[in-house]
Amino acid sequence: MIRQHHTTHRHTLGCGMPLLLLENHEAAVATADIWVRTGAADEPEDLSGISHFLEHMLFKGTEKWGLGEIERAIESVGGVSNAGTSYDFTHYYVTLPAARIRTGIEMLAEMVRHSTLDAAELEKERLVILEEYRRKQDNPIGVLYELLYGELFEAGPYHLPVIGSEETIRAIDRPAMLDYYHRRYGPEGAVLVVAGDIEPERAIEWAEAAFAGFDRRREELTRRHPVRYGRGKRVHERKPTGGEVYVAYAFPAPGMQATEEVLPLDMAQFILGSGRAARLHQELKEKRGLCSSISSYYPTHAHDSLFVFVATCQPGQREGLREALLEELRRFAAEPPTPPAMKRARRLLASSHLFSMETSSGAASNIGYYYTLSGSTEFFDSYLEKLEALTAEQVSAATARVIHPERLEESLVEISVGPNGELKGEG
Amino acid sequence: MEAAHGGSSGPVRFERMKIGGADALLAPRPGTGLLALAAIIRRGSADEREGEHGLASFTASMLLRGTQRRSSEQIAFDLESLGAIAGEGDGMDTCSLNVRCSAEAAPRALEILFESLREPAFDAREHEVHRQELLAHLRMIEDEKFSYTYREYVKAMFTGHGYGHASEGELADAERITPADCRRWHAEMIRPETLLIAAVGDFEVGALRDLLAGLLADWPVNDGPVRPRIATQPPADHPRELELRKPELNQGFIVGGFRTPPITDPDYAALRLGSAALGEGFAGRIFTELREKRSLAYALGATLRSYRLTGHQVLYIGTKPESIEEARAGLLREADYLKHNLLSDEELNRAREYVLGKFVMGQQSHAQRVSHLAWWEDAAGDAAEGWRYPERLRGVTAAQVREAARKWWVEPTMAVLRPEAG
Repeated sequence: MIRQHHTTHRHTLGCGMPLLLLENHEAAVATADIWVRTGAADEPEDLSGISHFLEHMLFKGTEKWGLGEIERAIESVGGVSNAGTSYDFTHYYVTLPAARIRTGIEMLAEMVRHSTLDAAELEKERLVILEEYRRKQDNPIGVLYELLYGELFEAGPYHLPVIGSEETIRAIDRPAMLDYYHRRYGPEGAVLVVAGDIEPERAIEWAEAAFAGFDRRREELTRRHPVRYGRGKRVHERKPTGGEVYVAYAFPAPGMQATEEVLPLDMAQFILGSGRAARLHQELKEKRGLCSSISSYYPTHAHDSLFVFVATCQPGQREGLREALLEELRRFAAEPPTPPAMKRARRLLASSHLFSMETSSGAASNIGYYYTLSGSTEFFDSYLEKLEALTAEQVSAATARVIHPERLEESLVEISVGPNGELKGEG
Repeated sequence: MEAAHGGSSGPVRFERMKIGGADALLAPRPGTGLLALAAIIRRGSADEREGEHGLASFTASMLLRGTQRRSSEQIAFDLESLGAIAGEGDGMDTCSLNVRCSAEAAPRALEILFESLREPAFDAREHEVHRQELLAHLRMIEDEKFSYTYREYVKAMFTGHGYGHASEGELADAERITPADCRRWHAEMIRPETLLIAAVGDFEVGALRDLLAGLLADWPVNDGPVRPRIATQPPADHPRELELRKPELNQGFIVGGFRTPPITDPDYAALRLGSAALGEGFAGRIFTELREKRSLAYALGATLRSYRLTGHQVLYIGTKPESIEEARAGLLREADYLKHNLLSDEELNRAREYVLGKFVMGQQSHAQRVSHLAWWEDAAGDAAEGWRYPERLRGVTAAQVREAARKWWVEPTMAVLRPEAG
């Protein structure tokens, strides 16, 4: 058995915000990572992309720090900073030589509490985001995922892309952004993670000081609509590529709120499509030559999610690949995974989990992600222990509930991007 | 200065030894429960002769695709059932097999890894499967603007030299290479004499040395001489301009750069800080001037790439088609600024601390430490050079950065990707 070496410690700051701490003294590096439970899933449709836009703006100056001073201050003490926006969260992180982590905590506090969202800077940053948007439109994988989410989630919080549309990026204005910032960024909906070569008592002291008086009341926004899943679709987007077609096959799947389903589906994902010995990689790519790559992913969103297979192939291989994939999935749902298949996936999943904790930024990211989505550290801290206890029957049953083998084709949404080609039953 | 808790920011301590004719660097890290190891073959695409392009990479990719005793699937299954993550690497100067696993699984994982390294089957069917995989990979490079433009830029930068070929070769190379070619490359190039083993993890040095000695014993190599590595520097700088076109692009992409010396050169440390000041991080000049002030791009920056015999200072930016000329001029203007102006104390300090910080951050995981050891050993001739690197950086002055930029950033090679007209 591969054992977990870490335990997360939880402290609640005076302002009410949780602080999660993880010590690792292997290297003199530490990361501070603040997670705000707001993202594209919380946006009104006419403000699609505002969470991501705001993420950019938080680096554009605060009441205390002018434009560029945050980045300069962090990099001048040997640190790096960045941020990420998704559907259910936005997070900001700073990795520094451990002796400087206090600077990182203070900077993050400034950004989430006192950003000025300067009007002139907002106009300049709009042009940068439009460049980011163009970049995504030129990338077949970017286009594939945008279409996938748009078609699988026909309505509801995951329908629109995180970056927004060109129209909404052009339309978002400062009053809307200030309103969103003040309504969404408060201690209730956030968590600060500090990981690495830290002394917990000092980190608590610095975080308490940095967030003292942070009392902004967070308002819950009305989610646009409940999720309505699309089913039984095949959509092809013509786009010139070097010759490959990029294909995604997706099924509706439970989100992190259905905690008991997550681990079996993580295992199913590893058995089917993660690693060189994964079943689909071996059967469809290596043995039958039906594609040049195939992997599976289970991105756990907070409420509703998807289980997805992503492949690349030649235009003429698409029909055969689809048929073979469906055949493999029917077999998988009919027979629980064998003990060797379970052992392989269990070990590989456990190793991947441990390797992802080796760096302070990896550890902070894992802890923050799972806490933000599940509301506790329990899921992550007990992950390896629960993994050991998981049975093949649990994996098989959870997978069957997602792919519905008796009506597989009606459950599936298939998206492809690449050179033109006829699709049978395109709908 | 705030108090740190005591994690190491010092050099990776290792023991150097010969094991079975191979060089080995073993760095114990007690108590972590993990191990990372790389078997580095000190021959890469730069060592290929005319008609061999892509062969070093192709051969490396075949190593985990079956031995006399295990099929490709069996190798993958056996390793993954141990929780081991293995892979191969290719490059201009080296190729490698590497593995990460628990310390407990290490003996069995290393047995499979070294069996793959020593006794690959080069099976014809597996060869064809990999060929199809490689052809797809090469087609997919065309779909990612940075990868495509950078690849063409490097070929232009080092035209006429071993570094002027993409390590994975071209479509025609992938079609041409046979299992017999791979067998010959393996026999000539993958031998104990060319091997560098770097390991970091929870092991006792003597125990790992004995284990590796057993795995390397009686290596069935041929008796012919090992082909030497390429030893000549690329020809003198001859700048080129490449115009690339693709249909239906929303954004153009520019990759440009200057020839720089290898890391052993006295100017290297100054150039490393020059690169950071120019365009690394969110406070480098390229980010500040072209993104923050002029909103020209989302993706832009600079990076210093180094090989065993040379290097190049890379600049890049992606921007809408109508801004391509402004972006190109902006990149070169910022490089020019550093050639004609002294960095302020603040800029120099930021660049230095940024590079030193990245240096420490880049040695957190076991695999990162293995890469660090192997890189300094091969590129500088001694892994311990990595220990001295921070001191080299600390001694650099603003005048040295300016002089090094003047000396090396002479005429740029540029590759510009634009949408096809109409």
